[in-house]
Amino acid sequence: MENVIEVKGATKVYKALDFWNKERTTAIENVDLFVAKGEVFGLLGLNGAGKTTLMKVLLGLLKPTSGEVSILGGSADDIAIRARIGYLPELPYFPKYLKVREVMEYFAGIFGIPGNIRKQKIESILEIVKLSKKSEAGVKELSKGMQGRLGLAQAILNDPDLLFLDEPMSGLDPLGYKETRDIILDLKKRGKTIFFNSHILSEVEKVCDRVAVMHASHIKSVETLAEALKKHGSLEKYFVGIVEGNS
Amino acid sequence: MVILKRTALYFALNAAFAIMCVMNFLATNDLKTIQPAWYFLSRHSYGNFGQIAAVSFGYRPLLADVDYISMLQYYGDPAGAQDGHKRMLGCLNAITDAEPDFTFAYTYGAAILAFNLKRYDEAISIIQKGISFNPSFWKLRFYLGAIIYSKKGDTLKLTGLLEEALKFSDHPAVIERMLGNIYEISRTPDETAQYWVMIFRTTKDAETRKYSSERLKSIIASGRLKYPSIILKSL
Amino acid sequence: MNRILAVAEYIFKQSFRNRILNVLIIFAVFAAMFSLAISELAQEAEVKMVMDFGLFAIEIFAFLTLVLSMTIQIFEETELKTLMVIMVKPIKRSEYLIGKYLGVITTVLMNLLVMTAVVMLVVKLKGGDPWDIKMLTSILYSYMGICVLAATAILLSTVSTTVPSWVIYLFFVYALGHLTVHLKNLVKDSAGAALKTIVDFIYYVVPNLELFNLKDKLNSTGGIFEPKYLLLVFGYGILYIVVSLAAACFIFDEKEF
Repeated sequence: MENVIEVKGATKVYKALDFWNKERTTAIENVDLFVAKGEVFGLLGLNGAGKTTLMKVLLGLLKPTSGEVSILGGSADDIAIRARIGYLPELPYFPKYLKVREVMEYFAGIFGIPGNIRKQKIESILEIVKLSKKSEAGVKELSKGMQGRLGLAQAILNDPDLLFLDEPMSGLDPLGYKETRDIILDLKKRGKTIFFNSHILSEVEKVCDRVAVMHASHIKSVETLAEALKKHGSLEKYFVGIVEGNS
Repeated sequence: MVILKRTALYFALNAAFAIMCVMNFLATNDLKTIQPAWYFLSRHSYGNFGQIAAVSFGYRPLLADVDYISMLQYYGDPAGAQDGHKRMLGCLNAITDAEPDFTFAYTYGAAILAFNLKRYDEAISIIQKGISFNPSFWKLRFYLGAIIYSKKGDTLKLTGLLEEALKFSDHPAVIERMLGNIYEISRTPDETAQYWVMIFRTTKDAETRKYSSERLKSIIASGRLKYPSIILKSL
Repeated sequence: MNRILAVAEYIFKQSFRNRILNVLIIFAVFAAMFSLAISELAQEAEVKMVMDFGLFAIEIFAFLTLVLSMTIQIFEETELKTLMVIMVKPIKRSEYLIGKYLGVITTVLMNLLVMTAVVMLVVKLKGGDPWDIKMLTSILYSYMGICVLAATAILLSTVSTTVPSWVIYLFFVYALGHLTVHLKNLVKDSAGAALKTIVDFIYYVVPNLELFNLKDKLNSTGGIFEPKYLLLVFGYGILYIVVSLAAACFIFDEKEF
């Protein structure tokens, strides 16, 4: 199967912000990873393990200190590649004085969605994330969960082949979990590849094909979900076992 | 290819920067040629923080305007009158140091000093300062003449110059009152009354309008008018 | 081009609807109207007073609009991490910066137009000529100076790490920009080589805002409003904007988020 994400020996060392301080922080070290097309891949880890850094390196927001990174057969520096990816950051923020529709029009303009189909496209995406009734509402009127859904809407606006989600269920209520999960499963059914970080193991169990555990800047384990559950009984035991075994 | 493109862009940027520096240099030279020497800060500006601050924000005239209003407040203040408006010349110098081409400050200030406060030497000094900074503004020489004649008591020549000044729309209102007062001594009551009617109608200054009205009432009440009906008709 | 305009529209809407900027515009209008009251004290120099005060208010409030608008942007980009969402979209970093620049100067332009209309009304009320060509030209060049400063602001935002430091740098550049010509004049005859070099460096690198400052030269008889000078300054302004934005793009291209 074709790999849409390939990482070989990726390392990222942060320089100290303080001019006098020569200490360096190694956020990720010698990471090897691949994600196949059409997979839902879950990256698990404690806070500070390096999950967000790895995602940023994949997206081209950070340059790796060493190693090779490839997404969709190319680099995230290539605009043509970026046109095929979507990204939802943790705690997305949108200007509170704009309306939901205006935020989506902004991103549609960047994606170059033609004017004649733009309105229709935005409406269909808002329908998917269940925000169509709020299209004329101001961003400041949206609840935290709705803002998260708006974030997801801008991430899937361009019908991406590869979607990066950083803690997509952060701050959501149980209904929000279900709605987000349904969207992810629907995207999976349509052949999209999804790479996401999450702490909510119960949700990861419901959507992922493969999972990896990151601990102290390293990838400690990569398994299919079925294997992990077979060996350890639950994803929690698998995760805790890897983390505590390495502490 | 990317490196080549970036290198080309880098050199183009440097070339643009060099051209920009040349244009800056040429424009600055033009500015130095166009603007008079006083415009630029000098060693004498060091003591004047207000001027340095005004120049930092690019706004000398505003400093002059604030000083001008302060001068007017000082002139209208009864406490100032008690000390004979000693600081008047200092106030005018502050205004004209901040904005040497504020020509109205010279004419207005000199008129007050000469015609109201009778301090002719100070009036002459401020007018001469104005002429040195604004050599092409001929009206200053005009006012200088009027002040000198007033100092010498040459009423005839003074009247002629004041009448000339009145023809210009930007003359200070004090000239109007001064000329009227001279007419009350040197002309007939009817001629003086007709003058005050004209001033009442045309002056832009509220205080002068009030003054002209009072003078007119005084002349009418005195019964000295030969043809009162003509004056009353023109009112 | 469409991407640049999409960013410009977004930045403009976000700034223009911000309550803080709306309050600033109201303040600016009040300042212009306040000149009406001040001019009552001015006796016979009323038109000069309202014009001087009005032109000063226009430039200062245009500058404050620039500062506020950019502060909002920088805060959102750095503290609320909005930039990450944009940078993974199919938009070049240079396109984003140029779109941001256009959005910011459009916001300033809207404020400037409102202020200009108010000042013209006030001048007319005082019996002056609201269409005085020198007054209007000086407003135009004030705006040009602000556009140059906006390009510098964009460049500074790519190197500053915090919003307060950026604000301080910009205020410093604003004051220094007006003083460079004067500093060069001061050191020309007597200062040492080291000081002259430092002053020359400042003179060529910091935008020479004094060239755009026509508002305190309304009485100038020497030809400051002649096409030759105006075109030279306009050319300098355009080049400075291009160089600043290009330098900002170079730095921004290497930036990590």
